[in-house]
Parts: sequence; structure tokens; C-alpha cells
Amino acid sequence: MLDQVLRIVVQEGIHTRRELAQRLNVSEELLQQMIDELVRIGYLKSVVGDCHDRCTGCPFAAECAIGGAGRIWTLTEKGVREVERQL
Amino acid sequence: MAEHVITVALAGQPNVGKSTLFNLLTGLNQHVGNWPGKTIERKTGTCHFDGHTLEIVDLPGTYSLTANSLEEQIARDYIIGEKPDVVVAIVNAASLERNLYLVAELLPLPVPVIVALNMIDVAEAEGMKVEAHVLEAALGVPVVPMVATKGQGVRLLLKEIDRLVEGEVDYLPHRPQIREDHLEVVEEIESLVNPYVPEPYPRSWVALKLLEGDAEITEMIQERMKEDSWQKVHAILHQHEDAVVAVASGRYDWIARMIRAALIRPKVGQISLTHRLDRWATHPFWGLLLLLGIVGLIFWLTYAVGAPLQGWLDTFVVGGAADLAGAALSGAPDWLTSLVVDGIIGGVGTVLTFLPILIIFFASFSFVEDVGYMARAAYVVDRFMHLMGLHGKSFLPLFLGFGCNVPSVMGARIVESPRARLLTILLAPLMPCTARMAVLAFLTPIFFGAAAPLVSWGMVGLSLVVLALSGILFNKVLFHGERVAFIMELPLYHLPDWRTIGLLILQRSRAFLARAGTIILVVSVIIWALSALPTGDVDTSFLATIGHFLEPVGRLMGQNWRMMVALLTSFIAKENSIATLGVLFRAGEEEAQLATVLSQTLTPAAALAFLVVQMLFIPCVAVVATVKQETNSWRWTGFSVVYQLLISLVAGILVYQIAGFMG
Repeated sequence: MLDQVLRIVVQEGIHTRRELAQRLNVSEELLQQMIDELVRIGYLKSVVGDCHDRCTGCPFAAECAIGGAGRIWTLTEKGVREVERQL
Repeated sequence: MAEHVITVALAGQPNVGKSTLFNLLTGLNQHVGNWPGKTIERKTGTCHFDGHTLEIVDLPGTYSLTANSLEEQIARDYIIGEKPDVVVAIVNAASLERNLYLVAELLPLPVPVIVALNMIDVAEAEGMKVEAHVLEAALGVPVVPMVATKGQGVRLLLKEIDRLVEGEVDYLPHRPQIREDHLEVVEEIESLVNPYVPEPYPRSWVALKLLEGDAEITEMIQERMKEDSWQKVHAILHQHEDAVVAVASGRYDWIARMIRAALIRPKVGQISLTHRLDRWATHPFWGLLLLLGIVGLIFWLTYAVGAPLQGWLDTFVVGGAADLAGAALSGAPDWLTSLVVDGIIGGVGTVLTFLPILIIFFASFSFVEDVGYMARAAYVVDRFMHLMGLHGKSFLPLFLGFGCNVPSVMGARIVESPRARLLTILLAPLMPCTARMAVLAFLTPIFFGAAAPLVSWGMVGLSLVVLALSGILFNKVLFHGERVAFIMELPLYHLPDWRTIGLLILQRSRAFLARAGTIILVVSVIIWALSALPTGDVDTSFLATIGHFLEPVGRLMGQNWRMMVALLTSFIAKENSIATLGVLFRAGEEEAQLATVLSQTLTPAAALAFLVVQMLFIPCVAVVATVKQETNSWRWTGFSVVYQLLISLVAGILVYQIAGFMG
């Protein structure tokens, strides 16, 4: 199922966690566990984690809401390699 | 004959009621020490039931058995090394999925497992129901529903332990399997390491752990194998680096199967408000319609409330100020009257009338940002963004471009991939910013009357289409269609904080007024000076010379030299087109309203062409400077400027020619 997560994300791009969970017929909680596991073994990484640093020095930081959205994860190179291997 | 003591290990994640159960079972017969050689507390106790003595061992709370932590290592080593008679896996029924992971890791070990399904009352309170007998059938191991805090189910658990130890229960667990395509590899590894696996480790389990890259097991086997035999194993492991995904996938497939079988989730009515709203807001069709509706509503508000206010300000405040200034300066030299009335009031005054329109924009967008809708909007447009090699995250800075392109270009910083970031920066200046929208809101009613909202919609639509086509083009030509992939968590909706919104409106309005007082004032005065020098007659002024130089291009789009100058000055700030028109048309046309003069000067086709060019023209100098700062490249900055210049002129000429042709 982890391989399915990686494959769907690579092939179809962006997903909300909820929609991806529905696609896989699992709950968001279970998907979150899988995401955490994929992060732990280096196939996914969290994107938003370092976003706040990027806003430092931006004069619009105080009035800008774009950093405030929920967490976002993307594939690492290892993750992309894994999907390429599957295909 | 000595009484047989049954050893029972309690395993479970933290906060599942493991300690409660331990205390219930052992009461005062507890012994607390440390695990051998470790600083972690080891609790044991005894329990008498039905003539048996049970020794209860409380294992440290762990999420899995991967030996990531000392607790996990202790739990694993104890179960494998000491082989208790039974392991009781305590799971929280209210978060079954998270808890089943540990069960998935316990089942392959050579010790029988009983699942204590604890906290069923909590699960029921949350609207969930776990069907214990179905779970039992799916797992193939005994499942005992419990509420440990109330002592419910404890006797049943003890009875099941007894039955299992006495062999009265068929113990046929359905264990998670590695993904099928890796079955052969597991067998191969197993046969290679077979002679070197020490007792009491199960061989197939060791093979799986090797594939998972488990450090402890790898070290153990490597130490026992000869170098050349280990190299063989190592080569296979290296070749199957992805096996860790296959192993974990097997566990998650297994968990998903168990959950589907035994868990009944809350009904729709109990689902959160965010979830219900998102059914609409993130729907491929309704979500897009909602987004269009929201943007449409903002435009409608602008026209219904902002435009009349703007007209009123223009007629009474700007017109009144001009009359007052004219009267006050009746004795002053003509040039001074002209500077104040035509230059300053005509230029800056006209631009200041935009304030109501801008406040409506700022308020609407801040509201939408603040309630948490932006992430949904980003998601809904994502399918279109993909064609451009972007993902929804780029939409957030682009959407911010509706306010001003400067934060939009800066906002591209949040985009992870350098390629998508550059693409976002190149596209951001094509977003119709509020200054452009204000110019649009000012000009469309003059030329198109009642059709103004429709024309404005069309202009915004055109900008977005050009943006999308440019994105597709850049992505194909410059970046060879590379793709990006993301998983997004949508934040919860929340009530807007009016203070935040108010502050935002205040900040942005102040910034706008500051611009009107500085850059627009200076440009207005310069334009006035250039229009008055050297002869005092606009038609023979320096400005006319510049304008006439640009006229050949302008003629292709039906523009006279005044309009071309207005366009040129919009490079300093977009509002300057209006300021310039204010200066140029007020001069020489005493008492006339800019609107009246303009509508007499341009044909509808030319007006349409002017609007198109205005929307797509080079962004203002602040945006260009920001593009340079963010790309750190003159080449890309130059590319961005030249691209928009060409696109806007070509589009303007096309629109004028086609509109003229169609009459």
C-alpha cells in the first residue's frame, strides 16, 4: 500500500490527504501513519517544515496567509526512484 | 508437583490502558525493578485465576517492534528470548488503525497473541463500533472487548488466556505478508542465512528484518556468517533496497483489511463541519464553481459598491477640489494653477478615488484567506496548474497576485522545487493585480456602460488564460514538462478574525496611500511638466514628442499618442495610466470630466485593445525589481519583461484588428 501511495502521487500529482485516503479506501489516520513511515524511511519529506524560515525577511510576512496552509509532503529522490522501478 | 506458572506479557502502545490492566490483574502483588542492564522500569506481578498462577510482565509501551528505540528493543528481545506463554496486545478501540501496527509486528513472532480490545466505550462515544467477533475471525487470534477502567472484560481475558494455554483454542493467526513480488527474495535470503540464525530467532522473521534493514539483526547475522557468504546476502539486500517498502506495505495492507472488516465508522451526520464543507469546496466540479462564484462575488461587490463610490469621489471630491483650487489660485500664475489642478489633482486625485475599490478587494481576499479557504482553492485549481508543471502550492502566491504582484513574486519562495519556483515567478506578474483591476474598474464603465462587469470578467479571464498558456509553454519549452507531486493536508476552517482582516485592510490601504503620495505624485508632476514644456501646449510638448514616437505601434491598436504615454507611465505604477490620462485630458479640456473626454476619444475596439494591453503589459517597476531579487538573474528578469511586452502588444493588436473587422 505504501508503494501505491508513492505511485498515485507521482502519476497524478497533488492530492489532499483526505482524497488520497478515500482512493486507497483507508482512513486519513492510517494514511497519516503511512506518510509518517514513508518520511521515516526516506521516501517522502515534509515541505512546509522549513517554510517559516523562508518567510523571514519578507516584508509581507505579517500580512500573508500562504504559509499558514496545512502540512504538505513531497517525494524525495529515493521516492521517485522507487516509483520508476515499479513502473 | 509444582504448579505451572503461566507467563503473560502485556504489550501495547503508550496510553492504551496497559498500566490500568496491569494494576487490575496484579493488585498489590507487584514487583518493580529495571530491565537487565537498562534504566527502563520493569514491572512484574502475579495473578491467581481458576487455580492457575499467572506471572504478568508489563512490557515498555511501544508503537512498533522495529528496534528504533530502547523500549522497542527490550519488548522485542523479551518476547523472542523469554518466550512468554501468551502476549496480550492491548489496543485502543478508538484508534484501532494506529494500534494494529504493533499487532502486525507481534504476530510473526513465535508466541501466541491475544488482542485485548480496550476502550470500546471511548470508541462508541466517538461513534465508532468495532465488531470484536469479526476482528477475531479476520485476525485468526482471540479478541476480548474490554473497558479496563471499569474492570469490564478482565475475567473474559483471563479465561481466554487459560483456554489458549490449555490448547482449547485453534491458534491460526492471519499474519501480514510481504508484497507478492518480494516473496522469492525472502525465501532466497532465508535459505542463505538459515544455518546462521541462532535460537530462538524465527528464520523467516530474521529474513524479513534483514530486508527491512534492521540494524540489530543485520549485525547479528553478519557476525555469524563467513565474509563471502555474507557478501552474497549483502548483494541481494543492496539490490532490493526497496524491500523495506514491500514489507511495510504488507503490514498496511493487512491493517486496512482488518479495519475494513471490523470497524464501523461514524455516519455522515457525525462528520465534522470541515469535512462536510470540503465535500463541496474540493469537489472537481462544484469546488471549481464555488471558486468562480467567490471570485465573481468579489467582482460584483466591487462594481455594485466600489464603482459608484469611485464615481462619486471623482465627481464631487476630485472635481470639487479642482474647482476650489482653481478659485483659490485665481490670482496665481497660469502654470501654478495648471500644476495643481491638472497635474496634482488630475493625477493623484483620480488615483485616490480608487480607494473604495481597493478596500473591497483587500477585505474580500483577506476574508477568504482568513477562514482557511485558500488551501481549498489551491487544491481545486491544481488540475489546471499541473498542465503548467506547477502544483497547487504555486497557486497560493499566484492568488496573492490578485492583491499585488510583489508579494506574489516573493511568495514563490514557499514553492519547494527551484524549477516550479522560477515558473511561478515568471507567471506571477501576469496576475491581474488590484492596481490593474482598479484601472479596469475605472475604464470599463466609461466605454462599455452596463456591459462593464462582463468586459471586466473577460479581461480577467483573458489574463488567466494567457497565464495558463504561458505556463504550459514555459513548462514544455524551458523545463521539458517535468512533474511535481504532493500530498496536502487541508487545515480546518475557522471563523474569521475581524481584527486580522481589519489590520490587513489598514496596512494595505496605508501602503496604497503612501504610493499615491509619493511615486504617483512625482510621476503626475513629471507628466504634467513634460506635457506643459516647452510651449505650454500639450500638442507640441516634450510628452507629445515621446508619444508620437510610440504612435506607429499605437496606431496598430487604434491608440493615439496620449494613450501610449499613459501605458508607458504604467510601468512606474499601474495607477499612473489613469493619473496620466487625468493630466493629459484635463489639460486643455477645461471643466470636462475625464470620463466624458475619454469616451469621445476612443472607439470601442480601441478601448478594448487598450484594456487588453493594460492587463498584460510589463508589470510595474517594483515587481520587476522583485523578480530580479528573487531570481537573482538579469537574464530571467529581462526575459520576463520582454515576454510580457511582446505578449501585450501582440494581444492588443490582435484584439483591435479583430474587433475592428467584426465592427
